Amino acid sequence: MLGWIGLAARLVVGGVWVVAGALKLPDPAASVRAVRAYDLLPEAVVPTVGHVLPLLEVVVGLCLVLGVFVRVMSVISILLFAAFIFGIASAWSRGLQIDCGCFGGGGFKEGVTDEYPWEIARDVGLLIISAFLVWRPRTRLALDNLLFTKE
Amino acid sequence: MPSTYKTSNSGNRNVVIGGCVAVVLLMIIAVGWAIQSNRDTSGEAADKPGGGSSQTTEPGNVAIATADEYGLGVGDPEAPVKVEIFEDFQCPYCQQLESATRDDLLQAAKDGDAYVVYRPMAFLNDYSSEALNAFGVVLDEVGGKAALEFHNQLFVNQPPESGPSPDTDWLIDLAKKSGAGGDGVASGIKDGDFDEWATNASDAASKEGITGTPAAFVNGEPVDGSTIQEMADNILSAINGG
Repeated sequence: MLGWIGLAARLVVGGVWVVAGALKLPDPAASVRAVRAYDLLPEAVVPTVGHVLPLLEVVVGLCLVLGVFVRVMSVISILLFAAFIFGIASAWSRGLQIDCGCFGGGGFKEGVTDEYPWEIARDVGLLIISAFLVWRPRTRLALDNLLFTKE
Repeated sequence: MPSTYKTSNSGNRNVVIGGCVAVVLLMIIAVGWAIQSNRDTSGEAADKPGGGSSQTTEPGNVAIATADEYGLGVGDPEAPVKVEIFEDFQCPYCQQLESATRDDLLQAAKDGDAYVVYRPMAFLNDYSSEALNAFGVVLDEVGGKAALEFHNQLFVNQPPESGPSPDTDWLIDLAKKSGAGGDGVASGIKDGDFDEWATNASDAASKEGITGTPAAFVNGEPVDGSTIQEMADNILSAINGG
């Protein structure tokens, strides 16, 4: 039973990562600007993070959907969600009015700050699902089951 | 003990397979990184409109010329108040701010009370970029007066953000109506002569801390407002107060 729950968890978290990353891939310059908008990282690393982060999201997402390296990918997933929660909370506390850029895009929106708590709640939920997969990485219909033999 | 032998063998197999998969994943990210940084042209060399010399003066005696590489300056740069507005031609709130301030800002520039710098940038969609390129072409080919009129017309005739977005012929037509006809304008808009300049304009704005549009500054200080009307009122009262 836990194996099937794990499969569902993989599809939900992995699916979100694939969509979030894929939407940012077409416009790397926009992705760099979204990272810069948080004003948390030094300018020297902003372009690199803006270029690599969407790729990392797609790779982590595809691995989770296919069931490759589930435990390692779930740990990366937790670290990414923790970073995003920190970023949004920090923007919120500094009163920055930014679209989180979670799914690409960005721009001025009246009352965009009202969305911060929902964005944080969503990321916390996905972080908890990722933590479940670290605890129970053996899931149904995962490539891990074919690639690796049980020791 | 045979079982020990078997376990260590399957352990080796797992390490080899795991290593191969890990290498493939790292290569995907490395290649993707190279592709993405190659596609991001921000900051690369670009033609700049006007070259700083295409100053145009209206009968009302107001100078309109390129300002700070990416802006269109209206009025005397030495005026007591400098108003800077960052805007995207596709942004509906920018359109609201435009219609609430356009006439008063032009009047303030004519009276010598304010130097108004419009800083268009493009970050919403492809139309944003095409419109900004067209703006650069008009500024370069015809000059500041036509560029200001084209800028105004772009906001008055702003297409819906959800689409459908008009094509380049529509932009060429609108440029013509704004006093910027000619083959140079048409081909510049079609060929994207100022695409790279538009990309750099957006990158420069981002580096100045602009995270959304519209963003307005009076003498370098950000202008707030919980609504666009309030923002417009704050800009205009800052001019009258200054």
